[in-house]
Amino acid sequence: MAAPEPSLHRDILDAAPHVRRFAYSLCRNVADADDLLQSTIERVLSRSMPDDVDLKRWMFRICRNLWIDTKRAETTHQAAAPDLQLAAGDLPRTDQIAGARITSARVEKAIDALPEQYREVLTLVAVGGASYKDAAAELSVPIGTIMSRLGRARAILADAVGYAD
Amino acid sequence: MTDMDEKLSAYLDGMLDESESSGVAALIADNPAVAERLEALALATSDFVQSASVIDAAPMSPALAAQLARLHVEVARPGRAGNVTQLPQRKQFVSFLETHRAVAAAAAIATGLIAVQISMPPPKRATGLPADGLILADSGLERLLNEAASGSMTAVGKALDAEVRFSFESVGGAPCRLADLSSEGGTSRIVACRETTGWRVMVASFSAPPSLGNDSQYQTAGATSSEAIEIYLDSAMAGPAMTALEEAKRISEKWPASQ
Repeated sequence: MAAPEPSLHRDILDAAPHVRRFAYSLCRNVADADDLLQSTIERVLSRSMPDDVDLKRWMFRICRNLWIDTKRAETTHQAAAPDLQLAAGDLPRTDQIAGARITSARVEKAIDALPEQYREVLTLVAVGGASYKDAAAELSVPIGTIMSRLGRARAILADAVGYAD
Repeated sequence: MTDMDEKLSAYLDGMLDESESSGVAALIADNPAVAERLEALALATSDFVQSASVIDAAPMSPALAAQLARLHVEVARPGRAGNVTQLPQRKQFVSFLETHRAVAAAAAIATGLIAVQISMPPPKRATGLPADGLILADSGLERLLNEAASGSMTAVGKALDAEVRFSFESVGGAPCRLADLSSEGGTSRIVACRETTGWRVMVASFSAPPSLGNDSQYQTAGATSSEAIEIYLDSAMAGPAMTALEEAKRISEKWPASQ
């Protein structure tokens, strides 16, 4: 394989903070987000990328696919060791502690509790900047489903946090 | 969720067509409850995005930090865009002086010291020497490069100490020396090579003191600027650094170029 161009390295460095946020938004854990970003960069450097694609969006896509793979693996792991998973869930995470300093604990809790399919679509559109059309293609669902999930995601968060209270 | 939530959500994203958007805008204007709901959904989105940025303040994992550092080094390698060390020779010394003077000015304001200006001559002087990196004859810096053995600390100006770290031969056969210049304002690291007209600064970097309160401690150039120097050295060094014996011989012979 030919050595990657220096401009690709620079573009990766530019995109890295955005992809890190994207990864964190998906998995809600700093260590997992860093692992995801690292794997994403390795994937970009080791495989060819379509010429007409925006690198950041390409990295978002790779990141999300890797996250899905991780979720599948976690599901298997959780089934094998449910007690361990429960114990880990009781411990406060460093990212949760950091997050509480910026947004309220109630917001963090509401986001953590957001069902994955809603968090995923909100991440794609609100954090990743995807259009409804791109998000629909990414998730292989109709645009109407994207609209519906986004409305639902925002409504769940708004009601859980109680902005109108 | 209601159909209204879905519509308001799409309205926030600008994804409604013109007529739908006008209809929702009219509803928002006429109905305070709808306006309030729109605000709640917008706040939810805003908090969601802000929550993702929490990770910006979190330290990266060592593995990720190392991976990004490697990419930075790749981007900064000589001959690649974005590297500051490979300036044309005639610009190198000007850049060095500008950097050092800026620091010196800051230090002078803060402490009243003007050591660096004294030891670093202006780019153009009455003698007509060009601002191309040539180090003035009989300057403290020239004496350092001519006479000091690596590892010995020498005062080259008022409140400016210097230490030659090592000597080497360039791929072009010129003897070169790497030296650190340290004042209260920070540390500069230079690589100077001997030419027929004298020593010429080939590359320089600067690092500010890492913190206050330890100004009695000698500081070396910071990691980032050292990295830039190392990249230069990778391309310029013909072989390993000279031994103390080789260096002493060159000093006694007044640094002749290799044949």
